[in-house]
Amino acid sequence: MPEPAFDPDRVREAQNGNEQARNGLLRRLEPILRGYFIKRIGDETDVDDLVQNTLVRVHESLDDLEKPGSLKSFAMKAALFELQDYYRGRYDMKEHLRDPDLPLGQSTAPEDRSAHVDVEKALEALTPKARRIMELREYGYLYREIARMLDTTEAAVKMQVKRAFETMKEALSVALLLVWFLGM
Amino acid sequence: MDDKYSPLLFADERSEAQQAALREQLDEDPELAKQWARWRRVRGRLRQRLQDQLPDRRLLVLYALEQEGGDEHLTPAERAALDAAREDIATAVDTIPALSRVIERIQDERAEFEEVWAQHQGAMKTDAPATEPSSEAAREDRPPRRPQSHDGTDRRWAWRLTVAALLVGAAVLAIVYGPQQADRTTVTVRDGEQRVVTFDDGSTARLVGAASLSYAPGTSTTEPQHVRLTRGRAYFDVVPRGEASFMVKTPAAQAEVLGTQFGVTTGSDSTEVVLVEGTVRVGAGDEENAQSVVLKPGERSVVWRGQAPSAPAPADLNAALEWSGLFVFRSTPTATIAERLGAHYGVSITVAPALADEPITGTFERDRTVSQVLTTIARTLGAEVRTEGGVYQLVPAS
Repeated sequence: MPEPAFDPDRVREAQNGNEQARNGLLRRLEPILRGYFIKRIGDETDVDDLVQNTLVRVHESLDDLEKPGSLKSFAMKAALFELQDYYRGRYDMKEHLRDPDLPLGQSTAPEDRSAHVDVEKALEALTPKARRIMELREYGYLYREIARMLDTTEAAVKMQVKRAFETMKEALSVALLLVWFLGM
Repeated sequence: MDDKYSPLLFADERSEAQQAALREQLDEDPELAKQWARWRRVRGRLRQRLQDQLPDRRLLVLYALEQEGGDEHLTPAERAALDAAREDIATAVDTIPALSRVIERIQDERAEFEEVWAQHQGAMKTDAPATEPSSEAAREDRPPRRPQSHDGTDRRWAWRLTVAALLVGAAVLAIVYGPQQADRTTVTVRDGEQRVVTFDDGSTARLVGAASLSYAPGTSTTEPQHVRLTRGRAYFDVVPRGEASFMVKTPAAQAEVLGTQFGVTTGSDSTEVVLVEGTVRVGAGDEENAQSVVLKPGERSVVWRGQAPSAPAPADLNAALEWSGLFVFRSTPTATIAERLGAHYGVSITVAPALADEPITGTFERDRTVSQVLTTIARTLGAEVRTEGGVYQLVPAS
């Protein structure tokens, strides 16, 4: 039996242009989404954005919902898609530490010459575990989230990152020496 | 490992002030800057590879749902899109093994959504009459939370505007009542803006955007006031409250005060408290037994989420609270104040020898003119301000 709050008939009315039904549906979804995002990412201000954006997703694509009885799946996918967008953009605005010697879009000639070799060599030097951690970090997860995903502690994850940095530092130094030697 | 690299590796977890310090460090240390640039290049390569292998993450969500037998969640169109992309996704997972962990996480996220949904539906059935749930009906008349200022993209703003139009028409409120906290007022300040919030007991919080603060209106000095700073920075000036506490809570910490001035900078994972006057007890989180430290004037403490507060350490108040838009002086010799004001306003200020060592405690808004600030200081000292040849002079009153 359908839940009264998400009666398929009301969903259908919302799809058919009944503004009251549509607003009511979105309002009823709001606390569910808020509760969900707070559980997933904590009591952060980003929750507001996630809730609002997911409601917009639902609003904009509600007409595409073919089975009004499957609103839960519909909202769930909207929330999961929104989380993916959130992870992808998570670090874009937080990382203010640009390379002082390497502004965006610019590079020095020696760095250009070895850059690709450097990076590939450095990546090859990583342990599978360290590489997995770095990949998950670049995917957009926090270290504490990565720790949960890998069933370990945040401190252990960060230790792996430090080791990865050391490994890369050495690997890059060797690579640069090689490039210099081969270029002679 | 050389520990100078650690702060850089986890720079995004640092406060803006700490990041600014790191930037300075990078400017001054070419070797450090070079290592940092290489590290970022490697990380950039990983990110690019993820993007190349998985240009549309929504397909990974559909893939994850399908993998755990959740095919009923997919529409025919989604199934068709997944069919077309399945081989590429499998290749991506082979190439980037970490993606298998991402898939597991998506499946966890799906399971948790269903749990939350079931809980809310259960609550609706229990609480609601057969016709219309009263709590939900009440919400119909209440304005929703205003989308908060965030350093996001234009796209996010466009979405917010759409949702605002959808739910509340053109109503955009600086102070709104949250849908789940009708008894609390939430104040949101956009990036680059400031707003002074005055509580009913006369205490104030100077919010520096982007920031968000909520509190219970109508709280008198005889009642506890719990203010929640969910992000950003605020400079609090709390009037003496007798036995009733004034509590500032952040995602990572809480500070309990009795008549004082202090600044709080908070992110999702850390909070810094800098005390100017009075006494503040800084604790980690909400737990009653959480470890805490007591700050004295001129001290600071940082709390990382889930960790104990750092031991109180001396702070340069003016530097630590520069973001507040205030000059903050505590028992500072007048000559030192004159020097700092002179540097800030780009003017020359001299102080008569008789006044040079006189200590001043106070805060001054930085957007006041030098003349206004000096006049206030002079009044405090029983002195006067003269100007001669473009030089300001603080001299004993004649």
